[in-house]
Amino acid sequence: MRPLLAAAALALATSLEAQAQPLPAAAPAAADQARAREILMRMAAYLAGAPRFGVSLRSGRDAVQKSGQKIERLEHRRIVLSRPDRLRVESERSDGVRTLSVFTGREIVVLDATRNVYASTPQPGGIDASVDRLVRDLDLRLPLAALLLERLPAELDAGLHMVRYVEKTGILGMPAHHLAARAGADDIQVWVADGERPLPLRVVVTYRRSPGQPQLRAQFEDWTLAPAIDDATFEPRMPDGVQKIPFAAQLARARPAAKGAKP
Amino acid sequence: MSVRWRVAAAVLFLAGVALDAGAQRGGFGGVGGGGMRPTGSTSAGFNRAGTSSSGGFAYGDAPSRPEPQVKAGDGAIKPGPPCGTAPVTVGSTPYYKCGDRWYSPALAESGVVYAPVPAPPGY
Repeated sequence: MRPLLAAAALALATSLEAQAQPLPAAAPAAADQARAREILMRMAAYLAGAPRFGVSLRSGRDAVQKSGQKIERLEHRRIVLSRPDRLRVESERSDGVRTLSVFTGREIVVLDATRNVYASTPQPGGIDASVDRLVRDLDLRLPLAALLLERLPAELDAGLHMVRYVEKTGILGMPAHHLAARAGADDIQVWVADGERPLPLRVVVTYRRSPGQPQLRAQFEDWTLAPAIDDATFEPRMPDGVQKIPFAAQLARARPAAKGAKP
Repeated sequence: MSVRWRVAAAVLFLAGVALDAGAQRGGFGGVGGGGMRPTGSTSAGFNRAGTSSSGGFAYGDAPSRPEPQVKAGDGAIKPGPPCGTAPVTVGSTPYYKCGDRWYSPALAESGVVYAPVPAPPGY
């Protein structure tokens, strides 16, 4: 019985091996890792050191259904950043919702143009602190927010491991380095432009531990390090009839304090 | 050990487990009956604030709550208060009285939500 079983297992293994894609090495060679990490850190330093930039981001994100089916949600964002403390993010989602988030230097303002409402809160400081406020405290999404941060190099240096060089490719319209890394529970792929401007061209994040292993896929377009900035860029003009409402996250935090108040 | 031998060893191991399990059931059942058991929870969920857990790249993306499910007709924007009552505006804030509770609109990632609030001044 056992020899038969062994033969069957070997035959099955051979068959599986023939069908499988080439398996990646268990661990990339040290030189390969060092090269990939160096490219990634160059990108991080370049972005963190840029006093201003503009870029468009087209992204898709899997929404995993109870059935396991994945539905992709698309977004388009136009980002203009000016350090130390200004940011403008215009966003349009595939369901038609349009929003505008602005760091004015004094306030964080988020306008939901579809529903003609906005909320604002004092800005706590520079880009890093304000992004943290938006994401952590106000519970709002800002995909790939880390790429806006001055602390990006430290984030990547501390968080990424097993960085490997996949290939050099021209498939994105210009020569780029395709890198792959693991970071905690996530798999990361980044395509970084080759040359003097090591900007990210594409990022794919796979959330391995989330049910269905959803992905975020983002493509960067129209990078500029000299974006057109005028008085209105970081001073949002409110549409007629717009209504000011609080951020839900702030209301939720204020609610315990209101305990005992008249219901 | 080559990939071929590793896969072979794994198949042998699994086959051995199945044979053993089957033997305990008189050789007929295999694992049988109970179906596949979950191998462990993968519901850790996303961590929107978890910069270091994702090398930074997931920061700002991942909702801390499960994704909303797509339903028939989903995508249509239907902002609305929790009941059909007309709002009472105090200052510039609209309040909705539904039963003995008051609600006020607030901005969240999903859009406008109506959150329970204390009664407005004077009510």
